[in-house]
Amino acid sequence: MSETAAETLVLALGIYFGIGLLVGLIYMLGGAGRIDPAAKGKGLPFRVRLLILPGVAGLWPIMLTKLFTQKEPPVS
Amino acid sequence: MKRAHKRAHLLIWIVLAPVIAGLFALSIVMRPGAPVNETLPDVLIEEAR
Amino acid sequence: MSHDYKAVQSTPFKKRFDLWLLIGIALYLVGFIAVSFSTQPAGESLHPVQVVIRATGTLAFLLLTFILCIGPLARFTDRFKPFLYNRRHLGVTTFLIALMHAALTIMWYHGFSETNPLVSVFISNPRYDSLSGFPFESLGFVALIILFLMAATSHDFWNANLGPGLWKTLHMGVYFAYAALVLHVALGAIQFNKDPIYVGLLAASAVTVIGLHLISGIAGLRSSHRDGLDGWLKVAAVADMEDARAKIIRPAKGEAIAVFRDGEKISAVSNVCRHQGGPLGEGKIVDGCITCPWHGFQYRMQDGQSPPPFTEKIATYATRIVDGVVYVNPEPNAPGTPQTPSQIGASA
Repeated sequence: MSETAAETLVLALGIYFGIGLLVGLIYMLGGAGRIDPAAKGKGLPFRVRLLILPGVAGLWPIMLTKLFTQKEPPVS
Repeated sequence: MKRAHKRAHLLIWIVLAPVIAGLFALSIVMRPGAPVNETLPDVLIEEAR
Repeated sequence: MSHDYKAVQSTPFKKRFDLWLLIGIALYLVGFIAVSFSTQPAGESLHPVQVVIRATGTLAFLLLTFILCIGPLARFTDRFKPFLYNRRHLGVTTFLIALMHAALTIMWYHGFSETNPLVSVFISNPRYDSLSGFPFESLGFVALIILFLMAATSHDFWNANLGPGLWKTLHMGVYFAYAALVLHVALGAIQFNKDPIYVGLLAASAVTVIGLHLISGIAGLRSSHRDGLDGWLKVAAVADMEDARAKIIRPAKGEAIAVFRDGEKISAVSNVCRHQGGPLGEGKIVDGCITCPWHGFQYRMQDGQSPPPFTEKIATYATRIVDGVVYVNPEPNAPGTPQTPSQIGASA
């Protein structure tokens, strides 16, 4: 792997997780309750909101789409 | 667990098993031996042993 | 089942399990470090950081090996069921130990130059076309990313919001992570460290994991061949049916069926829990409800519905008792359909 390729890869990963953290913050601040009624307000204590953050940061493309498209509450 | 899941699990392992086994075996076979310094006189090496 | 989300669903058993896990990890790390220093050949000087890198690396690999053996082993013996139901804690712990291994490696081997340490991981060894000199660090990196995604989505919130299908697919990534890790060790540590213990452990681990999964995978596909009666499948003699427990029947087509006995009544439902696909037939009847052994989701025996306010539904099946033998109709009713239980002692 060339140095430029490696630098691009690391930069891309950084940008990906950077955006992910932003989307994660949206989820922590109420986005979670929007797609899942069980996760509204007190249903999702702060500790759990913190637990969810890394996952949203990693899967933010899916979670961002869900924020706009998911109307039905989840099965569980 | 659903039946379709079980099939997917098995399929993954049928693919992964030969890949892991093959590369593992190759990696053992191709392990580099002890380095040899051609320029050192044999006498010195003998002495070092 | 709608419920409030908790950080960790805890039971006294899980607390004890976690405590023993932590004690085990501490003992392993201390033991590894002690043995490394006491058996170190004269003239070599191991740095403590290097020893900790090795200790965490081997521990994460062995833990993952164990985790991957739990699933198939639990199908052969009940002794592994407690581990099966606590796998998530084990998995997250494994990720954290692997993360420590990676962080220490990057700091120790790549942290002292001008180059960004992460960039350095990918370029310090450019021999991507060689096998024995392959930059094995990149394989570890791939595995770490997969383990991260799994650990980060191990909470119930994810199971509910990604949907069981996508969640399971994502978590099957662990098999690829394991493959990457076997090669990470084979092309890494084993190339430099000629100690046969390492080769032996790696080979034994890989063979065990692969073998168990292939065997249980093939065994699981075979549907048990059963005697029938007009297309109904034989379950067992009434006398062999334990109270509040189930027998699991695997028909040639469709999902497995759990046939429960509750006192003098026999009912059958789908063996697959709506929550995460847990094996309902391995659960018990608690307060008149079938209770999933994985996370305690409950369903009424007579109609496969979760008691209010919950709304989950599973398929029910017709049963009958002929000459003291229980039979089940392999054709499922729509989820949540009421089905009169068979009465033991009543004439068929």
